[in-house]
Formats: sequence, structure tokens, C-alpha cells
Amino acid sequence: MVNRSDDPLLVVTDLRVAYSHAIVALQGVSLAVGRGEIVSLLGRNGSGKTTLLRALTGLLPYHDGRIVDGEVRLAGTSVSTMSASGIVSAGVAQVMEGRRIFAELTVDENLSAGAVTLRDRRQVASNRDAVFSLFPFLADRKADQAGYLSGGEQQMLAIGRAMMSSPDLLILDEPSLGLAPMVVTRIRDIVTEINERGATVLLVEQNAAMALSISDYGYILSAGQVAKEGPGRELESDPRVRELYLGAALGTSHG
Amino acid sequence: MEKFFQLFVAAIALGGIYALIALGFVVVYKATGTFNFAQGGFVLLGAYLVYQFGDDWSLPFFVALILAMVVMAGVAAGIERVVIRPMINGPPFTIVLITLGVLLIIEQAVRTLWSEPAYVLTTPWGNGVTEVAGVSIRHVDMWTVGFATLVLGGFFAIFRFTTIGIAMRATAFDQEAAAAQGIKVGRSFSISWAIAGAVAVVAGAMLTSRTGSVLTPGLSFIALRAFPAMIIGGLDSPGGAVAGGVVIGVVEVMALGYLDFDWIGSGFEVVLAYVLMIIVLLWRPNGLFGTRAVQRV
Repeated sequence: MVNRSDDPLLVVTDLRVAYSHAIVALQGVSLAVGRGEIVSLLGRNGSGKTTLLRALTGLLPYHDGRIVDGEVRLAGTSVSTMSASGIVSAGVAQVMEGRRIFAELTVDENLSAGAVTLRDRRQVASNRDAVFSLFPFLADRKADQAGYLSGGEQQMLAIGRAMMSSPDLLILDEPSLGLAPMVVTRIRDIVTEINERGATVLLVEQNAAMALSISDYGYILSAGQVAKEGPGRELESDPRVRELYLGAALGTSHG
Repeated sequence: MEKFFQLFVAAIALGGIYALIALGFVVVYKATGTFNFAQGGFVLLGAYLVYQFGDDWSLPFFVALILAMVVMAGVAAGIERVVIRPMINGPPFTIVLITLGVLLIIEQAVRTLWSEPAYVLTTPWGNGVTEVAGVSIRHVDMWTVGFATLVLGGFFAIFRFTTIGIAMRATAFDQEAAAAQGIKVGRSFSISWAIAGAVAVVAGAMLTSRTGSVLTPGLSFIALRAFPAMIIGGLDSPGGAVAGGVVIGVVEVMALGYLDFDWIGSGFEVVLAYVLMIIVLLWRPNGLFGTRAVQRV
């Protein structure tokens, strides 16, 4: 177990985000992700999870949003005003909600697109090998147009693409959304394996049971604020958490 | 049959020029979603720059051509950065009108900077003709086919096989997802416009050096004849732009060579491309190679 107080990789302090200068989507969120941890971020639709991820990864400008106040620090350096590409270079990769693979590009080109921030070709080649060892089917289908992969395969391509930049912090937004239970289990195992290979993981999920079962720590967002936080196991067994924030999702996937 | 081969070479050459112009349109449209009327202005200014560097400053033709390509690449990228990008989230029609304004400004600037009504571009091939098995082939047409092949081949090599090309295609498909991979979306835009500027120079120089042609501010209007080429090929398909350009060139030259338009009035070959465009669109509304809508699976 990681000591959470000891030099976390990601620190978010009192973050406030507004869209189009009017709607306040995040009203002072603070959280930390320690090195080597899997931290999950839970909450219902509209609770601010995706907004928080956009703020962490520099994508707010694509949605007319901006950080009004507060700070995001990665390994001690502020990234609040960095561009999306700057943040990737700084070591953060993300798997966006809805996978967002480049359907018109081949599988291999999708992986190359994930490695644009790397200068060292050998590094790119070894990352590609690592992705293929994680997802052997991608190697067999690397010349195929990515749009022809199944939903689960596209999700794995999206994860592989994110791993191509050798991130210190991997952010996943709803990786299990819309996938069959067997595939969800597979995604969970992959997230665990990626974490064991050295990446810190921030996992946003609606499938709270899946997320908490592999998380060291969890935060529950509600109406743009942290409503509750605690070690994964603690949140998992808290009846109030189950009732108030996680709905039925927790009960069903435990059986 | 000899007449056919003679016309065929000329047709492919003109098609190559239209393909280059259409490619400029398509590259910008694909990357930034902008229908760029200023492309005709890039062709115009590019040709005048070749004249300036080659005939006026007496640089060797190929040096003048490459220098003009570099300058036009910079001019086009600069225009995108200064007047288009700040509008990127604005109404598409506004951006289209801005590009129309840029076209008019370029035309006026050319009239001011080069005040003679017409110039002759001096080229290494001049008006040379070679006789091959009874078919006389103009040197300019052979050079044009060669240049078009080289430039188009170079473009597709970059677009298909390099990291820059992957970044451009990824950006064209999904800007936000591209940015999330660390792709510098703004740089993809700049590169697309720079390519449009550079290929326009080649098109402009080849159009102007065709036998009997002179360099006038009307060149930008001729360049707009490539419009139907991009529509026929499909607005978002660079390969389609090339196919559309060649089709238009072949139809225009062959129609002029074989058909008698006296009954319909001279100049029909100019609108022929548009007639062809309408026919193709009735048959295939997205052009021959265009995508219906970007698929999000």
C-alpha cells in the first residue's frame, strides 16, 4: 500500500472550472493521486467527473471551459495553464470517454498517433512491443482500419494508444461503458496489469464495483464537489455510499 | 488516332494542374473544415512570385520555383494563423467569406505590385515541341505531368507514411482526440495551409507557362475552374481531388478537341466542368470518393 501523504504524483487544489463563463461545473475540488496508485473517481452523470479530467488534460478549451481558480500540479509542477500536448509531454495520457479512436486510420497508425510526443524512435518501437504484448490481437490486425474493430477491441486500442506515450499517469474515462461483462473484466485486469507495470492510474467509472475492487483510494464527486473519499475497500463497503452515490451499480456486479 | 494521343497528353497535363489546385482546396478543407476561396489567390500570387524571382531577379527557374513555394507556404500558413484561426469556432459561413476577402485582397495586391497588364514567364521548356511517332508533344505538357506526379507523389508519401501525415489525418478526423494524444492541432492546421500554398505555386507556374498563356491577374479565376474537380472527387478526399482534377482536364481538352460548340456559343468548355460536376453529384451526392459523414463507431 502506498503512503498517500508522501509526494503524490498528481495534486489538485481547490479547482474551480466554469463553462462559457457562466455555468460553474467544478466548485473547489481537491484530490491527490499517489505514485503507483490506482485511484478511482466516482459519481453520477453530471457530477463533474469528465470536467475534472478535461481540466487535468488541457481539453477545456475544446468545450468553452476554463479553470477559474485553483491549481493542478503534476510531480510538483503546475500544469494548469499548459496545452493538451504539453501535458501529454509532461507524462499524462488519457483514454477518453467513448474511446475516440481514429476510425479512418489503421490500428498501427492509431498507435503511432499516441506516440507523437516521443522523439526517440527506439522508445516508440519498444512501447509498441509493450502494447502488443498487452494486446496480442492488435499486432495481428495492425494494418486494419481501426473503425472495423469491435467495441471492446476499440477500447483496448484506445488504451494501447494512450500507453504509447509511456505515461507516468494514465487517466481512463469510463473504459467499461457499453461493454459486455466479460470484456469489462478483461479491461479491469488490463488496468491492473498496466498499474503493475509502473503507471499510476486515475480511473473514472460509473461501474463503481469494478473500479473500487482494484482501487487503492476513491473519490466520489457530487455537484462539482468531493462528497466523500476514502480507501477503495472502505468506500466499497460503506452502505451510505452505496445508497447515495453509486445507485444499484455496486450491488449488481458483486454477485 | 494521332490527334487523340496529342490531345491525351495535353489533357493529362491540364488534369494534373487541376489536381494540384484541387488538392490545395481539399487539404485545407479536410484539416480545418474551411472552404478556402483564397486558394485561387495562392495560385495567382505563386505564379507572380515565380516571375519575380525568375524573370525579374534572374534566378534559375527551378530555384525561383522552389523559393516561391517556400514563400507561398509561409504566406498561406500566416494567413491561417492571423485571420482564420481566431475564427475557428465561428460560423462556417463567416470563415468562407473571410477567405473570399483574402482572395480579393491578394488579387488587388498583385495588381498593385506588378502593374503591367501581363507578363510572360520564361521557362526552361519554352514553346518546345517533340515529335514522337507522328504525335507532337509539347514540352510544357511533359514537364507538367512530371511536376504534378512528383508533387502529388510527395504529398501522398508524407500524408500516408510520416508522423506529420498521421497527425494531420488524426486532426482531420477528431481534433479533440488528436489533442489528447499530444498532437499539436494548431501545427497540423499550419502545415495543411502551407502545403496548399506550396502546391498552388506549381499549379500557377504550369498554368502560366502553357503554350500561348501569359501571366495576368485573371489567373485566379482560371484556378477556380478546379472547383468542380474537388467536388467531383469528394471534398474531403485528397485522392479524389486528384481523380477529379484529371477527369476535368481530360473532359475539357477532349471536348475542345472533338466537339463543335459553335451552336452553343464559344467558351462552353469553361462551364463544361460545372455541368460534369452537377451530373456526378446527381449520381453520387458526396462525390466519387467523399465520405458521407465522419463515422464515429
